[in-house]
Formats: sequence, C-alpha cells, structure tokens
Amino acid sequence: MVALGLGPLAARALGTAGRKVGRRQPLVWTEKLAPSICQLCPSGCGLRVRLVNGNPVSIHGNPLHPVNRGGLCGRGAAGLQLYYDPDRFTGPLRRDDDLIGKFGRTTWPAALGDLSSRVRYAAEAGPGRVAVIRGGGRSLASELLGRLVRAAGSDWVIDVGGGAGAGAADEVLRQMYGTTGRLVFDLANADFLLSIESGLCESPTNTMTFHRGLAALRAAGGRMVHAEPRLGVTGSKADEWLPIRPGTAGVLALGVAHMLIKEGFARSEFLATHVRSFDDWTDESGATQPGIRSWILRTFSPQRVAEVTGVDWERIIRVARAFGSARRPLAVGPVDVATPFQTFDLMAVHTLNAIVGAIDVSGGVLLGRQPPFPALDAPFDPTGGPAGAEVARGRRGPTLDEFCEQVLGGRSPPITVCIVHEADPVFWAPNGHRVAEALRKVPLLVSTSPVATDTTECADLILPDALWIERRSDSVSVDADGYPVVAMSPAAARRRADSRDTADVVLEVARQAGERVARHFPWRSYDEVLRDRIGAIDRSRVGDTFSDEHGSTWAQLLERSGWRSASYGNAEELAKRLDESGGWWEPAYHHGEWRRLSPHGEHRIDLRPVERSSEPDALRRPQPPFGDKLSLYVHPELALGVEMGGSLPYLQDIGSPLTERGWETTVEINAATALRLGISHGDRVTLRNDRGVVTAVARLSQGIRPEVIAIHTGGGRVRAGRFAAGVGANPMVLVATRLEPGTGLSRIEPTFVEVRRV
Amino acid sequence: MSDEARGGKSAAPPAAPGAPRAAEEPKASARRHARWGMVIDLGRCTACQGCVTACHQENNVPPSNPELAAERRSIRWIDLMPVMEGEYPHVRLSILPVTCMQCEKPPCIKVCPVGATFLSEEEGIVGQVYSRCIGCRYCTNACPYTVRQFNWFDPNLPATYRDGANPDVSLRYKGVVEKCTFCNHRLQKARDAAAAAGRELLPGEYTPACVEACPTRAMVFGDLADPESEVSNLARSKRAFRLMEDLGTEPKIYYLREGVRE
Amino acid sequence: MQSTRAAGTASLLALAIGCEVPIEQPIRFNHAVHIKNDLKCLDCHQHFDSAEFSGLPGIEMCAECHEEPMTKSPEEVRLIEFTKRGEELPWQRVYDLPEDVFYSHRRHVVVAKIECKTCHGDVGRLTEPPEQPLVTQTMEWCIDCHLARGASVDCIHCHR
Repeated sequence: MVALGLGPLAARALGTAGRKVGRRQPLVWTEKLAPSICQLCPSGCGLRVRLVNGNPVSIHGNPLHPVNRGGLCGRGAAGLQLYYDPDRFTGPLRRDDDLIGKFGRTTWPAALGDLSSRVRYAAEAGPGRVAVIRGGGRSLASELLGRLVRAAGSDWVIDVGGGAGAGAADEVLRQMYGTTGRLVFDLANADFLLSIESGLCESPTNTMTFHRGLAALRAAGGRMVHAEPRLGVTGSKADEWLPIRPGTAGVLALGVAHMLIKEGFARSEFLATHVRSFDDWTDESGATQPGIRSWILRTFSPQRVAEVTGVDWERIIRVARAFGSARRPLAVGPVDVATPFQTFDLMAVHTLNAIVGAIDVSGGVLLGRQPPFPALDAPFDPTGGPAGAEVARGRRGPTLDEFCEQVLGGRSPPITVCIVHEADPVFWAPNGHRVAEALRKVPLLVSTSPVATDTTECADLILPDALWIERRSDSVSVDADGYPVVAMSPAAARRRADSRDTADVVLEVARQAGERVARHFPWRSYDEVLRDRIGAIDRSRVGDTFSDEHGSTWAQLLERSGWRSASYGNAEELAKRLDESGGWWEPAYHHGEWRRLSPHGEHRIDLRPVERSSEPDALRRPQPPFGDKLSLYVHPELALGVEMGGSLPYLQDIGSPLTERGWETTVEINAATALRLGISHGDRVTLRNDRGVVTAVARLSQGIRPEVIAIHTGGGRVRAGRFAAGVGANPMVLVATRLEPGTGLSRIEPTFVEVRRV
Repeated sequence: MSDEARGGKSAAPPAAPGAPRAAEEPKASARRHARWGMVIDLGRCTACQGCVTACHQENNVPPSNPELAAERRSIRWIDLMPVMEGEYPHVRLSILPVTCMQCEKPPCIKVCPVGATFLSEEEGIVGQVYSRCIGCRYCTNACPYTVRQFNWFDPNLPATYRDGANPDVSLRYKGVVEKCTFCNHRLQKARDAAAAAGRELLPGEYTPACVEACPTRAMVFGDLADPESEVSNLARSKRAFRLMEDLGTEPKIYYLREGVRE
Repeated sequence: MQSTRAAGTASLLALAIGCEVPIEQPIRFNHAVHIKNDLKCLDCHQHFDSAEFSGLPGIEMCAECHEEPMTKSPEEVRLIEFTKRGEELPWQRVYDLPEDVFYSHRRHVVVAKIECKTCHGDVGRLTEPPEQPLVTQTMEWCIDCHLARGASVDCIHCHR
C-alpha cells in the first residue's frame, strides 16, 4: 500500500522521527529508591522516592511502613511537584521596609541573628511574648518550636491543624475521659459503623488510617450508616444515607441513644463499671441527682429528633435497633476540623459509644499509646521552668481567636515574635482577614513555608524549610490502631533551594537567644535530638523496627503474649535499622490502657459534660429557609485540605472527586431546588450573605437536602504560585464564628446564603 | 574514520550470523500469551485518588489548568466516576475508578486509519504508537468508556518539572491521543529482569502504578490467562461485573460490587 | 505481522528531512586503543545488564585509570582537566531514538546475546569518535532483524 514509493524516505534514520518535547535519554543511568516520610498530613506515611541520576522522578509508598503498607493517597505524590515547584522560595527572605508582600533576599546568618535577638529580647522582657502557630504535623521541628516558645517563658503554642474546629477532640478527652492524648477509632474491627458527619474520607488529616480502616470494615462485611446533609465520598461507602440538617449531628446521636436505652440495648455492665453519672445518683447531702440517662430519655424522643434532624423517626428507630444489636457497634462524629460542628456534637457521639460499651475494646474508641519518650513541647513544670511559664496541666492550649484578641486588643504582655510553621491560618481560618490583621501587627512575624501562601504575605522573615524528601525527616503518630509509630528517614534527594531544616533553625536560634532560652536546648543539631530519641526507644525494651506484614504479625503475636525478639540489640544497631526500614513501632494495643492512666485508681468516663455542652437552642429547630436563602454546608476535600502545597497541579486536578473537572470550586445543590432557582448543571452561581460573596460552579445532585448548598474548602488562595492563585473560591469568607461557652473554642455558626445564577 | 569501520552501515539486517542462534534461543512467540487484567473491589475502594496521582506521575501525564479543565480537556488516564442512583432522599452513590478497559475486542483499534493503536497479541494490552497517531480522534469517539484522551496542546511544563519526568515513558505532544497502557514500561522492565535471570516472569513482579499505590488494596492485578491467578479467581466471583458488558467489548477490568456477600 | 509491517512503513511518512551535522565530542576519544588494551565495550558502558540504557562512563570511571597521564596524548591532558575539576564530559549522543521508542540494551545484550556492533557498527576499531552513526537505524531495519531471528514484533515491546 503506502509503502510503495517510499524507498528513499524509508532509509531515514529513526533518530530524526517524532517530535522532541523534552524526554531526555540520559547518557548515564543511576537509579535508587530512598526512604522518606510524607509530611502532607499527620499520618506520616512511609515513602520511597525513586531517584534517577539523582533526580526524584516519583514517590511511592514504603511497603514496610505500618501506617500505609506501600500505599499512598491522592496527595502522596504531590511532594514531587512541591520539590520541583518553579515558584518555591530559593532562600531566606526579608520584607522590604513598609511594603507588605515585597521581599528581598537575605542571608541565613543575618536572618537567624535577627530572630535570635528578638527572641532573646522578648524572653528577657517577660512572659508571654513569643508565639508559634503550628499546623497538624507531628515532627520534631514542630515540637522544638513549641519548646522554644515555652523556654522563652510563653504559653502561646497554637495548634491550628486545618481549621475552625481544632481543639474539640481535646476537649472531649479532657472533660469526658479525664485525660489527654489522641482518640483513635478502631474502624477495622467494628461491625456496624454509625458515621455522623464524620468526613472520614474527605478529611485531609489522618487520611491513611481512616481510609484503610473503612476499607477493612467494609471488606469484612461490616455495615455502615452515614448521616450528613450531603452524600459525599464517605456516604458512598455506606449502606444507607441519612440526610440530616446541618448542625444536628449531636441530636441524632442522642436520638439513637434514646432508643438504645428505651429498648434495652444499653450495655449496663460497661455503664456500671466504666461510666460516671449515667444513672441517677445520690450526692453527699443525700439528694438524688438526675443522671444523663433520664435527661436523654426526657429530651431526645425519636419524634422530637426527627423534627430537628429532618430524618423520618421510623428510620431513626430502625438504625438505632441495627446499631444496638450489632456485636461491635461504633459511632464516629466529625473528625475533621474544617466542618462546622459544636463540641456538643462530638460529646454526644462519645456518649453513644459509652452506652454500647464501644470504648477501649476491639472495634471501639481507643486512646493512642504514646511513644516511649516525652514530647519536647510539653509545658515545663512551673517550679523548674523559666520564670513566668505558668502552665496549668490539663488546661487546653490557646486558640487562634485568643491570639488575635491579645494582639488586636492591645493586651499586655504584647506578643512581639510569632513563628508560623506548616500552617496557613490567613487562608484557612473563618476570620482570615482578622488573623492577617493580627499577624501584621506582630513586630516580627516569621514563616517557615517553602512556598508562598496567604500567610507568608504577612511575614517579615521567611525562613524556608527544606522539603521532607530533601532532609532528614521524622514523624510520631499514634493513629494507626492506637500503636505508637515513630518514623525516621535520612534525606532522600538533594536540595533544590537554599533552605534549612526548621529543627536546625530552632536549635540555632535557641543557642543565640541567651542562657534563659538556651539551657532548655542541650542539643547541637537535629541529628542529636534524634539520637536521644533512638536511645530512649532502645532503653524502653519494647517494640521493633518496621518489617514486612508477616514479620509484623509475628511481632504482634509476641508482644501481646509478653515476648519480644527485636531486630536490634543496642542503640547503634537500632539507628541503622531505622534508616533501612523507615521507623519503629510498638505493634500491640493493650485494651484497658487508659484506665491505668487514671491517677485515682479506677478510671471512669464522665457523661455530664454532654448535657452541660448542650445549649438551650440545641433542640430548637433551625428556621426553615425560604426564598432563595439556602443553608450553607462547608466541607473539606481530601486533596485540597493540605496546609502547604494545596496549590499543586496534582491536587488541583483531583480537587473535587464528584465532579468531572478540577481547578474550580463547585457547590452542590439539590436538583429540585436548582430547578426552582433556575440554575442548571455547570452554571456559575454566586453565594451571598452579609459577610461576603463567592462565585462557584453549580453541580446538581439528588444526594443533598433541598434547603442546603454544600461547598468545599481549599479554593480561592490569593498567593499560591503560578498554578492555583485565584483558582476557585474560599467559602470561609461567608461563615461567622462565635466562642462556644463551655469550651472557649471558636465554632462556625449556622450560615445562610442567597444563591443566584451569574 | 576508516571505511572499514563504516562497514556496518547498512539498512539491511545483519542476518546470517544471528539466524542459527535464534533457533536455540527461546522464541518470544513461544511464550504463553498473557492477558493482563485488573479487578477493582468497590467494597475496599474509598475514592482516595491515590491511583490517580500515582498514574499521573508515573506516566508523565501533562498537568492541567483552569482553562483546560473548563473545556473538559484535562488528561487523566484513570479517573473516578461517581454514579448516583435513586431520588432524594433515597439515594445511593458509588464511585468507580475508570481506566482503559483493555478490551479483548477494542472498538478503538478498528477505526484507526493509520494503525496507531493496536491490541498486543502477546500481552493483551491495547497500546498506542504516538509517532504514528495523526490525531483524527476517531478512537476517542469509538471508545464507549471515553477513556482516550487527546492532547489539544503541547504539555505546558515548567522547566523544573522536566527533571522530574519519568524517563521510562515518553512525553506526548500536541495532536496525539493517549490513554492508560497498564504501565507497560513496567512490564517490559520486569520481563527483561526475569529473562536476564533466565526464568519466567513471576506473579507480582509486574504491577501498574495505580495498583501499587492503592492503600486499601482495592485493586488486584494479574494474568487472566492463568486460571489460577488471583485476578482470575476474583473475576469468577458472584460480585464481579464489567462495564457495558452487553457491547461485547470484553473488558479486562472487572469490578466487585460493594455490600454484596459471596 | 502483515499489518505491523505495513503500518511501520506508513509511519515513516512522518519523517522529516533532517540535515546531517557532524557530531563533535568533547575529547577525541580513541576506542581502538582502549580495546587494544584489553578493555571490552561493557567495561565502560556498564548499565547494559541492569537497565535499558547501556550508558556512558562517568568521569569517575575515566579517572580510575587516567588520574595521572598514561600517555602523551593531548586528548588525555584535556581529559585530566575534566577529571581534576570533577566535571562530567559533555558527551554528544550519536544514536538517538524517537521520543516514543524505547530500546532495551539488557534485553538485546544479556538476553538475546546480540553483539554491540550489530547495531552500533564496529566502533571498537575507530581511532576517533564517529561524526555520524555508523549504522542507519530504521524501524524496517529493526523489524527485519527481529523477523530473521524469530523475535517478537509486537508493537508493545518498543513503543510506549
């Protein structure tokens, strides 16, 4: 056929065929896989970076790491694009005088000298003048920053970790369980999951634990009911979806609790031994005090709950019966801090778990075991600590709102130095403009971000942290089945920028900041701190370094029966094994763990806080919206929820998994409502209220309540490099917050918006 | 340069010396033909999209941007397809990872006027020869699964991204169609490694990037031609189904229904 | 098979007319003298058995022998300048393949035991670096050899 007459052409060499668009055929070839640790969320998944000729070309999961076992979520590879991000900061920057957002290059010695002298001055001037705002990462750098603040005599260690709901889980632990640490859900071993606005699959934090747990539950035939105003990815895993009204999660939980008590599903043995104030009790004066039981029975009848939540009472009763008759039922409330919920909602869910005894048992709520070394950012003992570091144990940490109040209210003592690490509060906080105002007012604001964010705009100094794949990295996690997992890895790739490890920066600043601060930092380098930790792990004589799944199962069996055969004999061998395998863990959870934590012998869960936290209006039915006002439901998306680098193409591309396009903020509207409002699929719509206006693309859905409009966070970054600046819209401008009376935490208020087609 | 040294210059194959030895070598065509396939357990899949980004980085899939996305011209070799059934308030949502089905009877190859796409006889993979593709997009229209993607533009890669491109896979350019190759480059390397060691390819030595990345082990990959393989066993499960089976395309991607007991 | 060959020829339609600019290498490397000193191709092009690329020697490998001058060659002096600076030699590629064609040295050299000169010409006898490829490689040329040896001509093995 066409071959005829092509003689001369056919003799052309292969090499000139085709178009070159950039694949380079390397002349030399070296290839290796180097371990590292993902720092895009607190899961701290083990990575293996594939390097060809020294360049990282892909990021894979480390099969030995017990948290992810070789898998990665949609964000895992994003580290690669952050590494090659053309808009990364190339070195330390200083703000040009009086010009916000204009930066000039400075040197590391100059920048660190400046920061140290300001920390020193602040520490000597008195307590409470140095602050740090940290994201959710659990690495040594975060701990050392917290320690720096404490050493400078201050208590301003603010953990924002993603958004408005930060701190609620800690409040539950503190008030109900009477302890601190982290709550873990043993999803894999439950056989009936009642998920109430849990956001397990959308949550940008602890992704790996939630996803793997949920998959294990479903694969083992576990049933699942999901309640949320919209049907999203988490709902897609459920057998049944209950479309509850926004802000009624706690009421639904207690409605189910009501049915359990009434129909005899409450596990009375557990309640009698491990729970306080469930039944009516007699106080010292001999008077009878009502318990939580009578309050729930009195207040949360199915009819009443159906009215408030908008779900048929028959359905509530049916779900309650199925939940009560399951062998290992488990209820999970909001796990993500970016969704609007009250601490009451979370407490109600834990009350439900207490009633079915799903606490501290297989398939229940666990308390993560801590690793065998102290956290370096724990408050110092007031007697031995620096003057002024008066930190009462058990008191919750300060919030971003309190920080803003302190700075903008001109309260004494003034905060003169603030360091922002792995966080972008100006973008994520509901009151971002106020946070920006406060941050600008701080005389020295330092950011460690390697890329531009809305928060770096306010900074005076930018000290770019090295990326996890280009530095020694570490992470401490207790979220996988409650086991302590300590990951450590050497640098995998060479550095592309003049960056420095924040851990080393803190140690250098502490050294220069005067004796008062320096005495709390006996280490010369990040490596030395890690060596200390390795020593502590070795001395603990528990756990082992990561091994493959067969090895891990064996180690687990041994640990559980009190035996141990570790792969190392001393700290030196341990260090070597850590570099090879990626980390250490103690692969056994001993049920009954937190009862032993109690200082007063037997530990009991107190249910009274749930009644205290229920505000009088908890049961008041929200005004049904009319006209074109819809109730705004804000939710996160897995890919867009990261503090750093949420702007990268990989993440923008997969931003909203239920839409066919990324690179945009979408809103979900019930198809019938959209018809009424004259909105079609794909239309641009505006959402407006008295606080602001955002524009987004409409997606019509059957899986959303008719009076609700759902919008995801993560869009509308102002400063985000060339790819994503200005892409999408930030719904946080629409929501108002208020301080919750029982906790002092800032909560998102119910928000209504007017929706119009553009 | 001496003429003698140039002696090798020829468009003709150096036939004679190699020919007798070829008879001793195990012929590639003598190998049992593989039928690579995948089973996706929807009960385990949690739509975390790990497969999507793992695929993008492995296969140098060009990054999108708001303009391309608005025109539905983003390139994705694997994507999540949400399927919502029922009417409010009784709704079920399933999310299916959809990639090239690697059909045994692919409708796309029949319509290609230049033979740029083909069904590999030996591996059962539907391949694409970019340098032969003329960009007519007949195949993208013929594919009932809409998993073939057209490059409307040259990849707009920042210079720094090129250092991070996977050297095992080409970068495509404006005017060609591309799609999932089951990470065929990994197969080629695994076959080389096995052959160099003088043995057959073992199960598990060849895994596409999506399957490797899947944190919930929802994706299982293997040879459907081997009746004993894990994929073959799962494909025979009562929960198994294929997309648009009635079209007769015989996809080699199977799905396992969620919430159904064996 | 028929269709493979027909299509293979058809793809050559896409070939552009290129002009042959002589390829210049950073040093006038003498293959013959190295072979005479009992070195084999694979002593320096080392990746043949572990990767698809056979690879060129890095400067460190040159320095293993040439840390101090071994001859009076002015080219060696230039090599040692590179060695001292620790700078890689900017070798120019002689044999190039289209963007979407991948060739595995491991498969051809280790598995099929094809001699280097089958595809590269008798480079070992050259006293100067080649300015042009010694062998004109076309797809037809590849396929003919594959057919002659009973090797696979499935597109999947080379195009990706």
